[in-house]
Amino acid sequence: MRSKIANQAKKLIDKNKLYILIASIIILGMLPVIIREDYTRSIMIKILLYVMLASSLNIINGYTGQFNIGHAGLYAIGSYTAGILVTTFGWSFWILLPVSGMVTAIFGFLISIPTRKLAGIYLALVTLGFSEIIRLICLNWTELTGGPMGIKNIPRPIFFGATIKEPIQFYYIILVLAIVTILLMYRAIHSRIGRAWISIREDQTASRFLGVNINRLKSTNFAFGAFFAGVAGCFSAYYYQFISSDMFTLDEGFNILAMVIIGGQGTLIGPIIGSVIVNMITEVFRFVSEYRLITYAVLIIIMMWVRPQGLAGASDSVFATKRRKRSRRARLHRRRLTE
Amino acid sequence: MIVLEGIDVSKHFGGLKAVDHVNMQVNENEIFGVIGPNGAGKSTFFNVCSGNYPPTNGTVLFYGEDITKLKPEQIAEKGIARTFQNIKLFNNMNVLENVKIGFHMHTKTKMWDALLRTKRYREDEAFVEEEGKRLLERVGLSEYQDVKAGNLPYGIQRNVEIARALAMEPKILLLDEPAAGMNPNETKRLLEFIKKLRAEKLTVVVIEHDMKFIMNVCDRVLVLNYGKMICEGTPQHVKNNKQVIEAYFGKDINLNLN
Amino acid sequence: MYILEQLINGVCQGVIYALMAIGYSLIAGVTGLVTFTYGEVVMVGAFTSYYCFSLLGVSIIPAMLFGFVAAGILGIVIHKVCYERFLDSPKYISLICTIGMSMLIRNLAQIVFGTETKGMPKIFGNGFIELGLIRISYLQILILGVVIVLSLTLTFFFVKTKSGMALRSVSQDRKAAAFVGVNVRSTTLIGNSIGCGLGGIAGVLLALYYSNVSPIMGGTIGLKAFSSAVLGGLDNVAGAAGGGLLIGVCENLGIMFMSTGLRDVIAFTFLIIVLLVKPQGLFGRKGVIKL
Repeated sequence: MRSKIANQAKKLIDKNKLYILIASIIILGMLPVIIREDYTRSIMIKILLYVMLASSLNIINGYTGQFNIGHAGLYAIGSYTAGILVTTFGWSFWILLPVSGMVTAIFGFLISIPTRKLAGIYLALVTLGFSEIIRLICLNWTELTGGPMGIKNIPRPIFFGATIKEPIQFYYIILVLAIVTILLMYRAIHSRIGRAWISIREDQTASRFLGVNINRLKSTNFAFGAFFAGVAGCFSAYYYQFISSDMFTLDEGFNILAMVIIGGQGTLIGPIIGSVIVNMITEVFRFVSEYRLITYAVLIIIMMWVRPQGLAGASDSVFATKRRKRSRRARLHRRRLTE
Repeated sequence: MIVLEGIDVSKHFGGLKAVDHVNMQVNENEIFGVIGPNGAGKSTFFNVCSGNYPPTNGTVLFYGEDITKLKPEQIAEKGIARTFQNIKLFNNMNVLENVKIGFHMHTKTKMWDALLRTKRYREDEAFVEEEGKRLLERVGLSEYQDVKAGNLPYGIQRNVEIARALAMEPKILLLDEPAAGMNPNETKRLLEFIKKLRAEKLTVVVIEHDMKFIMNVCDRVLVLNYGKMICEGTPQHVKNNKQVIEAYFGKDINLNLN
Repeated sequence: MYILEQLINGVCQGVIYALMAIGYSLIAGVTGLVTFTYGEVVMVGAFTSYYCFSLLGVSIIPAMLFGFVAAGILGIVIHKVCYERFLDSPKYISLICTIGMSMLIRNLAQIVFGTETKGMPKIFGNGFIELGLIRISYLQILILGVVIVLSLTLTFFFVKTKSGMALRSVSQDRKAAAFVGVNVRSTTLIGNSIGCGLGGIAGVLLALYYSNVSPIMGGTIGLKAFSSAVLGGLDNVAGAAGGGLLIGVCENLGIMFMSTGLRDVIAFTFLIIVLLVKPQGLFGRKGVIKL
């Protein structure tokens, strides 16, 4: 039941999408110049980092409908790949960005293969299990990952001879990364591949009968999402200059999931909104972290009650059907069939 | 030429014989009907023939080739398209997008093409856009092009599902209770449309339990009851068959079905 | 002998897991839903016993009773918030709701109980009996005893009583149960409460066994309960018990070969392998818990 105003607003936005987009990018680009305080800048960096993470989760959960809640594991692989390679071989940040992405993508692909036949809850729990196993291995394989100590002293990136250490510099890096991420996701979605993904989400059986190779596409999709989680992980390693396995607990995975749930699944803007909201809540409750988590928890529950697809989620998709909506005629027909 | 053939097909679910030794031969360019009362096993038989699940016994041939054990994706590749009893549209996509997915097998864009917007991507997008619109026009659904499939009235949803199946450019179209939930006008339009498809050289198999529908459009009919074949032939032949009348109306009834 | 002692530890731990798994599969069977909140329910049972012992000075049986009731009441709340509305909705909605709920309970617990791990008062002493080469502590005997008694009671309940059969019928087929006059709504609520109550008792036993309670103990525990239930077949109560025993024994035998930090990996690995190879579990029927 959309109000007239909401409809008109939507039409206005749709018409001027490109202008709004360009304006937003310009504003984002100028933000750190306007806001000079380093602490606020660090929050903006965090928001953008989580835009990448939430988007990478959303491209999986929201587009092929694969219920992945173990995203922390993929994030961990990205971070640790970067951390290990830079401290052992001294590779450059710029090379490690795509390398971490690829390594994580490969892991994502491998994880998705045995899970192809699973769906719903079972898939969710397997991804959870994998996430924990990855964390536990990172915690215990001290020779490779530094064990409970983690990896310290990750150097700063070097850009044409200059060392990147100011927040404002990191801001621009993550801004570019986030924009590129969303752009690539946009392109993937508005193509044959993206349509096939959505068809898998909406109705797997019908999709198969149209010739869509769901197994291959599911794995590609998983790897695609994993790639961006890996890139985010690499950035995070350099930004925090430190990696440890307790940055990648199940709670972190739920954190990212919360952004997708609250912000919206199945649209590009959902995770952006989700990241902003959740990170702002984190800031408001900075000193009382239990209340922060309680607020998320309550928000998640309210979302499920009121709008399961999230604030900016795909409205008529499978996420939105709380009770299977059917027209009256269809319901009558259905009843006839089962008599 | 026999397009689709089911030989001695049986499907048991535990002790229940949903389909029991059914034979079917669909000829090229005919409209073939499968009818029977509710619970006769029509949909199960259909599902077996279209590869949704394997039969307990029997074979299914498509242009002479054994397709019994093929998976749905492979069935689609062979040129067999189907619709479903409870409409399976992609509700969150609009009508045009639903149809575009129908072209999936005819386009080749891969991930790299999509990300880098290569020539192949642009060609494929132009193709699905143009052909999609053309198909919608042919089917008479152009006005619904941008409507989200989930928001459409039931009868239109059915038509969209058929349009999407046609986008596959199939050799044979299997329709599972296409007239269900439609009012008489819509049913009439559907009838005309199916006849038009035959004129375009397509082979169509229709499941229905509405006698009138079948009588008016099919070239030949197979009647099932309790999973068994009870009659096969032209509508005239079938209509007057004693067992068929019994199955639908019970014994001792004299009927004039026109 | 070390291995025999580990075996006994394994069995002891295993029966606690089994108890949790029974509760879990009871809930899963009767609601048709999978939940994330079970660990928190167990935790609440554990804390109830902690406060019973330290504040009220009661003995073990009353503490278990309190634990059962507290967990059962929590179960009702969870049911109202996370299950009731969503029984006919896509499963992921209730699952995410339970994720939120478990976060809520866990963090409320940290606020109310404080975040530190609390040591349990010594109830049992360190007494043990010797049977040849092995020792079994009194505590272990108690635990085994409690679980055996509970299992027998439950079996009796399910097979011989009207409510028990109602529960089983709802687990199998809600519509059919409704047709024969079972009050599906209240049966679901009761089943859920009993399942949670069993978790509460398991919490008490865990508190005694490990001698401490912590508000964040629910996370791993919940996953182990779930793993055990899945291993045995989500809707198969007896199978779930078997699953719990198996995991408990393997964990304790496993730490002979690997560092204790990796101990939890055992449960997860089991979980993943089962889900990938035989999702209906060792004893479950195919396709019963629909996704």
